[in-house]
Amino acid sequence: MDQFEAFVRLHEPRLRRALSAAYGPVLGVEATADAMAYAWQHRDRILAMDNGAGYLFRVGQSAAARLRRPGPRFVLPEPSIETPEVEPRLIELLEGLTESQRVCVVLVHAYAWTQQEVADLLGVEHATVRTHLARGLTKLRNALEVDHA
Amino acid sequence: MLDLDNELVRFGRWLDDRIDAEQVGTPVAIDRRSVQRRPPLRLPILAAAAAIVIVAAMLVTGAHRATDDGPGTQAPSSAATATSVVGPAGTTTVNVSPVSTSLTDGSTTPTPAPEGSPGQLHLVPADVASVDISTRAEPIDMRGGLAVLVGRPSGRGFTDVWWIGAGRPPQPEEVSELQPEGRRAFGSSARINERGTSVRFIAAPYTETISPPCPPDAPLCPATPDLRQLIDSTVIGDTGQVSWTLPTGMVEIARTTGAVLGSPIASAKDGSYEVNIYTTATIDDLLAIVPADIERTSVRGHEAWFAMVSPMVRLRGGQRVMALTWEERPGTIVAVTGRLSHEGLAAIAEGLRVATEEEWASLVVAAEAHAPNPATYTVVTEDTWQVIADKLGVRLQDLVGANPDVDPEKFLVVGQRLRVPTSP
Repeated sequence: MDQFEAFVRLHEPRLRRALSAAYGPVLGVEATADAMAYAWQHRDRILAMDNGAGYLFRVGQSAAARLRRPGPRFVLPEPSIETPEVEPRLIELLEGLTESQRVCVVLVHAYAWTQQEVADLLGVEHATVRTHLARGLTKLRNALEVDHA
Repeated sequence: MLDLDNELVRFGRWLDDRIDAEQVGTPVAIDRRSVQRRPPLRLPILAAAAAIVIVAAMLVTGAHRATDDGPGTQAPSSAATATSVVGPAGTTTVNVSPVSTSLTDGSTTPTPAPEGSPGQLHLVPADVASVDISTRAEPIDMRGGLAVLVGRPSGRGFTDVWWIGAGRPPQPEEVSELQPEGRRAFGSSARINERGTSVRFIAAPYTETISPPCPPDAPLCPATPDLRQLIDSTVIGDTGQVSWTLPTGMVEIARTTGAVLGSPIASAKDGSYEVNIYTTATIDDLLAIVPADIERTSVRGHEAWFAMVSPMVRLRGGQRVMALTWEERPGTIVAVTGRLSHEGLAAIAEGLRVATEEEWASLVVAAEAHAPNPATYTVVTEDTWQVIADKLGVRLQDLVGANPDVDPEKFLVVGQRLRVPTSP
């Protein structure tokens, strides 16, 4: 397995989740594909970067900005389709968070990333992630009236 | 009162499910020409010019077709924006542009693409409401299905071929037609979702894995496929490249049972189930950590276990993905997974033919030949990919590359064994 393939195997799924957390699965998948296409075209440069995945996340953000269409990011499936249970109010509330807050909350709490991993991907300080996370969770907890513990 | 943490984990699973659905239904594609490394400067210009010529030809012939098809048809409205070829009412609408191809199915009657198009477009099955392929690639005819070379950068310049609509496993000769840039096609993953059936091949310099076609005279196919048939049509080679075409089934089985499983040396799948053969797992691994309440059975006298592949995913149709795992012979674990009942899995397992000594030997030899490094690392608490790479003094990408059978997207499991890359 060559270096680029290993890079793709490691980072593509993570980018897909991160971009889907930011923009919803439809746009997230498209943006990830664009980002990975960019990665291939510039593979030497990407592989030489300390944080190639973070760079590609920003490439994906740019792609998402180009591709963005009106409408909600997270659309609940038809009731007849059996899917993993999810709290509808949570989806609405996640839509209401800022993009950064949503990405931090979803990656850390839904996908068990470390805060440092999220910080690396977003290209921000650890403290910034902590702030986004705290604010996002506070909004969710207040709205859902759950324990702050 | 809601448990927010738990709800967010559920949301993650739900989002994964949505992502999977998007990946199957709407592969985002890239023109192979645009992903060539360091293409000549004039290539994009030539490609654009060629696309313009092609689309212009399609517009002309499409307008001609529309006119001939009588009532219910219409010609493209303008050269700049109307890249549509609209067939008779109730049939297929084919939209073709330099950057996108989309089909909206309205009937089961094949509608050929206009002359001059890069390939023949055929209808997707009638029960497929809509297929959108965002692609700058060239559609090609695949005996009743639409195949699109999409140039997805999933590795060493791989070119994916998405074949939509045929609803059956590809035939070997069909696969052999797909040798873009001199590469052989390998790997296939057939998945069915609400948007229809899609079969994906990955073009690469490897042999191919193909879902074995069911012989017309086979009385029990596909309920009880012959193992020889599975082996014959299964890659025995670069196990890493094969393993990624597997769904998360085996990973999930490992998580469910806690089993430590190695690279599959052979795999074959039917539409509803999948058979994997492993040689690097041991029965002790399984027995040591099999949950006490897991249902046990036997397969031809071998102790076997039923396990739910994953309690939270793939619930469409109301049936969960189950696995039946047993040790066929010392050091060789076989697993059948599928959205089937216990009885169904047991019937498949019982119906598999036991391979001859030569066949087993060839499998094992092939697997050993491709074992990159016998050195392993056992995952401990709080390990992550990065942590392990740091411990071993290797690059993260090398570590991932040395473990092609482990999905880096999934959680590592304590006790899981990872191969150590040979060079830091």
